[in-house]
Amino acid sequence: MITIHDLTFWYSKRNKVFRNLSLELEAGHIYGLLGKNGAGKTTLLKLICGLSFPKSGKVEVDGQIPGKRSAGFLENLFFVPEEVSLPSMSPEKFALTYGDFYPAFNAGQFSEYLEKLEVSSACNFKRMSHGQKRKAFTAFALAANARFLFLDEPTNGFDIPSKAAFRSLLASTFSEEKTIILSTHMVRDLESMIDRVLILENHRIIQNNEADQNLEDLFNASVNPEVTSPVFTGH
Amino acid sequence: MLPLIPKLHHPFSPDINSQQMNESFSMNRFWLLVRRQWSENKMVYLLQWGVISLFVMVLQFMDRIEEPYIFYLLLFCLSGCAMTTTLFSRWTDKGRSSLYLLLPATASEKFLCALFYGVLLFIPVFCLNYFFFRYIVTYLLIILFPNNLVSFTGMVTGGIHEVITTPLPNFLVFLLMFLFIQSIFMIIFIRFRRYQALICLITILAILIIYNYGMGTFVRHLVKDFAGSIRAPGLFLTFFSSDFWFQSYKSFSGEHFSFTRLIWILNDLAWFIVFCILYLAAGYKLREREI
Repeated sequence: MITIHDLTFWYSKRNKVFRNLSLELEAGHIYGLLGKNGAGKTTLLKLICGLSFPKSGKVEVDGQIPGKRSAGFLENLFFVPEEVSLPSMSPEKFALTYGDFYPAFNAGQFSEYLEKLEVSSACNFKRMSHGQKRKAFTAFALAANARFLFLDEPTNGFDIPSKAAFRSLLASTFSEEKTIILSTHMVRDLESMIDRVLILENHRIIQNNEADQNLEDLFNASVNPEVTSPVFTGH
Repeated sequence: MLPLIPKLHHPFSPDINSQQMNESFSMNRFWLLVRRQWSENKMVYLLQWGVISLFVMVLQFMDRIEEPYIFYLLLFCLSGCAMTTTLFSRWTDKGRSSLYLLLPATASEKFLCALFYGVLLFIPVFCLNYFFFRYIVTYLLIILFPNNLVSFTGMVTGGIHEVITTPLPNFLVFLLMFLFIQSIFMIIFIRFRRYQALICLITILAILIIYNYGMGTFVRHLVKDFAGSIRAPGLFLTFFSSDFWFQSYKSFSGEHFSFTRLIWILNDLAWFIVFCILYLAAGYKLREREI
């Protein structure tokens, strides 16, 4: 379980990203983290991963403080940032170098996922396009079988067949003990995957609902209340 | 008195002992980090090795240089700093740095891996490379020239003799200088962002210049009847050596001033303590690093 209590965070004191944010995320769900550009989606993921530290308040992942970045905690977590930068090596070599760090990493699954996402396992990352690199890294993230998987703009740079393949892979790897957060503004790409929706606006979560309605309408209605969609039922 | 109830864990909760094991130093994770570092940077290291070897050979052939050791020292320290830049993957590159920081290993394992490459491996490799190229490869090249009068064995023996007879404090000065520059570099790389790092480097340089000027003034007062201005050999060497040599520009006569042996030892010891603190601070900053 991910517990955020009274979280305040800022990059500069004048512009607070979060003010007294509280949130609980349970295992067994795929959360869609939605929000406008600059709402703090990536920052929230970084705080949960332990890449940034809260100015006040508390973030806990399964009772552990992410900021401590303990090895036991990191073995169960995988974060795919929006900007993926990989060393100069092939995915095959990458799996050999990094796979052993993750106890649940499965090399067979990794090859299978690469194949499904149409990425060559022998080609060097240096010679890959941005989209191909992202696909390879996402395949690695899924094959790491981490209990907490956070993907920032996961379909960014994916072509249409790869988006479909990604959705099918995500569905096949998901299980009850996992918590997946997909941070995106491309709601349509992932609508079918998300079962709970979190909408970030004005330094706080304004929606934490089951995704039982059209996400795009819900998002638009939440961040632009004056343009209320007929689908949106209010909160 | 409360009855003693055995502590029961939920069957699916992570085993506390295994979690504690995860936080203690793991040799397996350490070697994985070492292997990862090599896989990612081997080309850079090989290139660096090639450049160092080339410089050593060039310096050996340029026998007219007055103080070649200063150039070797610079080469030693600069290549050590270049090595440090590969240890902490480009922090400005968010993707790469988040990959590194979220790698399942403790901060101390990551930092020890950095010390393994930057100090434990770099120093012997540099020294072996230096001796190999300075005393063997360049000599082999020299004997290829026609009409040379020196035998290869003579040259190598001379080289070995030169190394053996060099006093230990001379090597210590090299080592202290290296540790000083590298530990400062490590902290700057871990702690600061791009412009902050530049400001920090300039500040440190300014402090060193002021310190050096202060030391110069101080020693000038210690040397009696000193006529004219002075210069100390190798600007920064004066920090780590308790042995000063001064030259008067007016008379061009050298003057020598040396502290007692006890001060030499205390000086070196004090610097070693300073470096340990600087390295520990770098390790601590790695733990606190944010993206």
